[in-house]
Formats: sequence, structure tokens, C-alpha cells
Amino acid sequence: MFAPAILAALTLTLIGMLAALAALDFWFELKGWEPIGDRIQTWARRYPALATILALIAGATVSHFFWPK
Amino acid sequence: VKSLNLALLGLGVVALGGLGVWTILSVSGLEAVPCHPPLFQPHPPAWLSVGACVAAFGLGHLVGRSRRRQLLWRPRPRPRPQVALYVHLALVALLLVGAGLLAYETLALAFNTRFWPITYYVRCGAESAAWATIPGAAVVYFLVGHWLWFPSRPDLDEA
Repeated sequence: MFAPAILAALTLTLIGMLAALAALDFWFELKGWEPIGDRIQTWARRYPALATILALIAGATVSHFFWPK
Repeated sequence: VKSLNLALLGLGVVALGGLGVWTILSVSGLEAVPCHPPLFQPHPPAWLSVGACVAAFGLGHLVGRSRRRQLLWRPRPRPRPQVALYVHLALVALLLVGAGLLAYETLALAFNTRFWPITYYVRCGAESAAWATIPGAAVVYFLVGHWLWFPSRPDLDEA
């Protein structure tokens, strides 16, 4: 069943949070501070297995969402 | 590279914000469901959507990598500890939200609940409003590619 509330919640949470983080990264870049990516890359370097799992999930979602049966 | 990074990040913020507002406005005025899952006929074809996401991921990686390389020569100060804490909290919240959404997707697909899984909303968007869905997804994967990668060289790691 199509539920507009679920779609609105999805949009507000995922898209909203990503937009907020991107805006923060933009602000850091403008101020000349260390960008958000550096923190994530340092974490990825320290925990490569977790970062690989995260990257695999991100990759798998592309085909899962867009590739119809 | 800094200007390009700023331009792409700014464009991403505007695109995601616009997509969010547009989605909520269109959903609130929706009188009938624009598609009927699980039968979808994506326009344009699915390979184009996937290709756009992969290309955006690669572009995000290239820009992020070039930016990090540039920082080797000019290390930048960290933001105030309070700001850094908020960033960490936001990243943790994003991961938790992602985990929650994947759990919902799994349950909705596995038990065939009466509510659509997330996949149906995305595919419905790709079918009925590809002009907004594909660029929106590409922006999401640009950000993923921009942030999530391994610095393979020790000097990049230490930048």
C-alpha cells in the first residue's frame, strides 16, 4: 500500500540528513576547516572491514532500487 | 579544486533540498498512486539510472581525492571540538537511520506487508518522475563517493 506518510518520512530523514551533512561540509570548506570526508576516510583506514561492508551496501542498493526484475 | 568542490557541494545541497521539498509537496497533493508495483516500466531504462549513480560516485571520489591531495601542502585546522562532536553525532545518526531503513526494507519485502518497501517508492519515482529521481540518486551517490573511500597511500592517510 502506498503510504504518503512513509514517503514523507523517508524524504525528511534520509534526504534531509544528507543535505544537512553536505551543507555542513560546504560550510567547513568555506571556512577552511578539515572536511567531513577526512574524518570518514581516517575511520575507513582504521576499520577497513566495516568501511568495505558500508561500501558494498551502498553499491548493492543502486541495483536493488533501480534494476527491475 | 576548492572552487569545484564548493560548487559541487553547493549544487548537491540545493538539489537535495529541492528534491525533498518537491517530493513532500507532490505527495501532499497526490490524488492517485502514479504507478502499480511490482510491475514497473522505468523511463529512461534502468541502466541509465545505475550508470548515472556509478558515474556520480566516481566523480565524487575524484573530487574528494584531489581535495585531500591538495591538503598535503596546506593542512587545515580542525573545527572547534563542539562542532566536531555535532558532526560525529550527525554521522552516527545517519548510519542509524540507514540501518533502520534497511531493516524496514527487509521486513517489507520478506513478509510482504501491506506497506510498500522503499524499493517501490524509488522505482515509482523513477517511472513517474525520472527527471527528479535520477539526478537525486546521483547526488546521493556523489556524496557517498566523495566521503567514503580508502586513502591508499600513507601520505594521503596522514593529510
